[in-house]
Amino acid sequence: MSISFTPSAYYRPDSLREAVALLSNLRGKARLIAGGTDLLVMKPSGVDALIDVGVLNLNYIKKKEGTICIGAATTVDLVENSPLLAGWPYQVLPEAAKSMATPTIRNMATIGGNVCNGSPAADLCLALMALDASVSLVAPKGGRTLPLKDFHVGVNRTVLAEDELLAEVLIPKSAGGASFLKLRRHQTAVDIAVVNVSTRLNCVNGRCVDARIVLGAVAEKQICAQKAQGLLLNQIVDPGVIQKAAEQAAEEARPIDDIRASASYRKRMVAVLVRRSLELSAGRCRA
Amino acid sequence: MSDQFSVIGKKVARIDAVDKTTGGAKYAPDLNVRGMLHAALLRSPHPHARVLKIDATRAKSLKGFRAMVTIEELPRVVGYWFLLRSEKKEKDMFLRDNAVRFIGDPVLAVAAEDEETALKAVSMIEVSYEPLPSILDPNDALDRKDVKIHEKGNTAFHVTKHFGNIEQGFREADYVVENRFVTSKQKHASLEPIGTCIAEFDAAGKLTVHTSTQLPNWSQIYLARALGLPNTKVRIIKPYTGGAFGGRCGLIHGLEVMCSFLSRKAGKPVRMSFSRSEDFIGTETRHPMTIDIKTGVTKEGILTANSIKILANAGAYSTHTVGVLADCLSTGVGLYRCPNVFFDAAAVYTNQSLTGAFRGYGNPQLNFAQESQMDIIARDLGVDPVELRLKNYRGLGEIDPIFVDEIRSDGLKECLSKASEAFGWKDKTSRRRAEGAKKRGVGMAIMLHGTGAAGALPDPASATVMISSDGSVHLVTAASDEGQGNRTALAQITAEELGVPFEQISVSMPDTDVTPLDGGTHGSRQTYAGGLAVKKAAEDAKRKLLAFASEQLGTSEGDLGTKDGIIFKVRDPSVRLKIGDLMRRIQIGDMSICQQVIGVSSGVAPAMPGYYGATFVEVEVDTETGEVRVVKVVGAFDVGKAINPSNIEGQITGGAVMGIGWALTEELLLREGKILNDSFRDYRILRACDVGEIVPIIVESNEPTGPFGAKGVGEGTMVGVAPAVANAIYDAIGVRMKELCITPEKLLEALDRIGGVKN
Amino acid sequence: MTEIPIRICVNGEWRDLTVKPYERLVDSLRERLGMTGTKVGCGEGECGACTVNIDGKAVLSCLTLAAQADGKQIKTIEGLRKGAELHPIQKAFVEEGAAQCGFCTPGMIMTAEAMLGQDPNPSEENVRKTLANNLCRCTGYDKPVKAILKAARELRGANHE
Repeated sequence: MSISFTPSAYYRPDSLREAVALLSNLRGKARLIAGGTDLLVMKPSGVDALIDVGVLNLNYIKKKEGTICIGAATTVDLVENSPLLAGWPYQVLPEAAKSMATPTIRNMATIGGNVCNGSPAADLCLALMALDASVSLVAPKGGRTLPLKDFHVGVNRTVLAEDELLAEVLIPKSAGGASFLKLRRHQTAVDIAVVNVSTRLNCVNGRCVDARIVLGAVAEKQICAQKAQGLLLNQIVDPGVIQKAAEQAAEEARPIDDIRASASYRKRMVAVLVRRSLELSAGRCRA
Repeated sequence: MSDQFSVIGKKVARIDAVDKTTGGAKYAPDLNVRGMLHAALLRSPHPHARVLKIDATRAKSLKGFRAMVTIEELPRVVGYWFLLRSEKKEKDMFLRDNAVRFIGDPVLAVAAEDEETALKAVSMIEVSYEPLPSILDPNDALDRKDVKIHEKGNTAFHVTKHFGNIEQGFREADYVVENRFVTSKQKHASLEPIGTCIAEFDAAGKLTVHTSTQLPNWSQIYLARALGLPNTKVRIIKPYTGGAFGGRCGLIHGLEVMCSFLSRKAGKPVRMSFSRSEDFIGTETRHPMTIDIKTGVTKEGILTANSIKILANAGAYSTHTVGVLADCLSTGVGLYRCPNVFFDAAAVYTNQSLTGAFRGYGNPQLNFAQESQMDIIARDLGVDPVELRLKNYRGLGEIDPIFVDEIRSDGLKECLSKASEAFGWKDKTSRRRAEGAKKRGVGMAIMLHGTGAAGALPDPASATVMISSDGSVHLVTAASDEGQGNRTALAQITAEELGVPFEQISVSMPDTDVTPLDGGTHGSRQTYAGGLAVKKAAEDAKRKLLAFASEQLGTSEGDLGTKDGIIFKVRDPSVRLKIGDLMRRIQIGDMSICQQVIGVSSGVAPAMPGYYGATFVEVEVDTETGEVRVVKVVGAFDVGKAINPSNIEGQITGGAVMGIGWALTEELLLREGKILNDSFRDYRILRACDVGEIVPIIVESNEPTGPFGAKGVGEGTMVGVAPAVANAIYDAIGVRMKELCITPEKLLEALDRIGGVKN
Repeated sequence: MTEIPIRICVNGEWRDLTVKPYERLVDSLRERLGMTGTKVGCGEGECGACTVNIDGKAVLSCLTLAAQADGKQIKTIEGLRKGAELHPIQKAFVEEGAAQCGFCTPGMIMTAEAMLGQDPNPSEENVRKTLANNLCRCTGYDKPVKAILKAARELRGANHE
């Protein structure tokens, strides 16, 4: 039991307009609650009110003119099993989802919660960034859409304003093979990542025309290994090229020591995981 | 062989299985006493400090606040049954001062109308401390003269023993090897957090405490002495317990004593319940040890000398340290035949969380060192590791040098042959190392653990068997079941001995008002010591039963037998009588008798038989990430006689998983005395998806002193697993990991040091 | 503080409760309704001892606010048994000796019940991946997995009659 987490009010708005109006009125003293699997673990102090997103109709996965739209309150198990995300590269998102926590937590946790919690180790965010996802935000004064890679600014910090709410995650039409890999403290299904990576490769006749290498848990937010991506462009993707890109990606990582692992181990593992991930992505591109 | 028994050796369903699978079983956190207050603790933020002033003014004015006790007002229990026997040492049993000795050490407890108010009250109390210099490294404990963690100094215990002539032994050796091994601070992490209790006084001042303790009778005595009450004015009732593994081996630090004093002060029942975090930081842990072991062997691999030096970290309080080090001595010297042994073990205090009893006691630590060492010797000499063990282990007919008692049952050869076959040892050891980043390897270890503590500690066991007027039976025993299934095994023994159907036996739960003296559930002793007591009580009841029956049937008692609730003449079974009919007559029907058949026994077991085990492990090491996956474990254990094979299989599998956890994933991490991983998120215990193939094998060597030949098994199933894992890692990648736990990072560092995998 | 009136259907019975905004479902079940079969092992979603089923899905009741359960169908361990007759999963746990200390058992059984409702023929691998929800310190997981597979067979057999 925590005595610091004692909000005195609980709201369940049934429209986005009402939800953001509440956020606006409560000036930073309110927290949105979706699955609760982060909020009820962290139990932050200074929360006067809870706003439940449960009946806002943000639980959907649909396709609109080639773009896959996922409501922010969609639970992770639905993301994991959605037929709209079958096939590469989109399947990298269910692949990431399957690695998250346990099936039970996935029944409760939401994609919006994972994105807004802003952990640099967030699994779904990596896959989403490899797919060039963007996020759609709603506020009393109107909405805005921005690339996911611009949404996070630091550990547990996003660009969300006090009165803003994440409504939707958008995945544009995409091509190539992709993969997501997660290294934990030991081979187990239930752990926050020590290092996680997601890559996407689009190759034409074996030559890379587009590359994404996204690294997690090795900086204050998810980062794209830009230089490493550059090493792949226009190259024939072979083991040598992959190895160089992997080593470059490790250079771009800026991990810290923490309870799960040391910075040096993490850097080393970036190279291993990126290499393995690129191999998988290249194979899936050919398939 | 098992067909001669009705219920011994059968996988009968546990008597509490329906309770547990329906949500009906009530554990301490499920209990509710009307009007009970709720307690919360204030714990020290300093590793070592004196409490100078406590200002609870604001807290006391909170609506719902009821009472407070501080450590200055009450005795803290710090010693265990080693001190029970000596009145002179009683002052060592309790601590009365105003010092706190680890981060998390209780300072005071508050009782309030509800839990939230109690926590709020604690947060409003201002404590001023005088921080004292602290010792965080056991190596400092002996050197630092400026810090005295306890009145008597920083050494908790020190024992030295010589056998033969150690220098001579090393001179006789063809090969000498010396290594240092380090083991980690492990936490029991039972699913029910340690611990919860409810204390209430009746109007006449008798205390009842509902608490999950492994030692109901000893806990009664400690609590009575702490409160200044006669023993029988304290009643300990143990509800269902959600696992213990040694973590509830006595009173819990800061729990029952504080709760009882609070209740007495408040004049109302008080419930105190630790959170998972409090369990991790404030309750007992395994003794971390540094073990220097130097071993000499002949070129054929026969041991000539063994020198064992241990430095154990007892933490801030040492409740079980004496026993743990003594266990290292007996297992270190007991397992292998070696004429020249030097044993020196010191345990020191540090300002880290306290230590206590934990599955295997001191054996897992010493066994990790010893069985790693034997593996090194086997490889260096080119001797098969199994052969090396067979050549040197102390077996049937030999004398255990510590307890000077003959080994009367020995199933190790059978354990080794059955386990190695089930594992495929010959085939796997002759395989060439695979190509690629993932390398497989195999390793093994053996172990010996003692059953019970007869001769070393007070080890009584008592039982009462009462036959009811319909022939059903009530077994009264203080045997405390934390998940081992001992109440079921004891019911099976009762049923078999009496000749009554198993379903007709009901078994008490420990309640010191009702259940007679028992040494507790520890040391793998309940099936053996508890079983002997139960068997004797059942024999006593049977004698009394047959005395009545012989009178009714007109035969002599020697002519009668019992089975399935029927008494019959052995040579003419048509002459019979239902037990129920007989009992009804003598209890109710015949008003001149009005007697119940009550069988009684109380005493100590005749021996402390050792039980053997062998564990074989196959691992797969990812040489790029350092991750180790345990692919297969085969554990064979000599239990004398399996009373309930299903119970034993559960212990073997559970012990294997706990042993793998200790080897690869479990370690309490401390920085400047603070435990960093006080949750399951960061203290990693294995899950169902982490576990590979585990094959349990039961071996029966028939211990002549045991009930139906049984001895213990519960702790030993974890002993030997960690060294088998380390030995398998060596086999896979040529790296000798001498420090637990073996994390991927440590493994990669070690691999780097030897320049990569060697073939 | 505004206490919130909620209606939850627990094991088929609608209950009216008034709860605090931050009250956990596990506490409402245990303390208000006296249903102590659902356990608290950690309070932070790591151990699974608090698992219940909401609308057919296994969820952690220590990470669910009571208020969030308003209007929902909740099944707890107490709701599995039909009179004296044990649910096949309970029966299998008893027969296989899958409950040792028993503290994780209700959570395991509720995880299994939800899983078999969605996947009546799981592989052992899937059972283990799903049972990863539930920490157990006693059994090493083998007997619970065997029990769940046994119950799955029995439930499939019963459905084909």
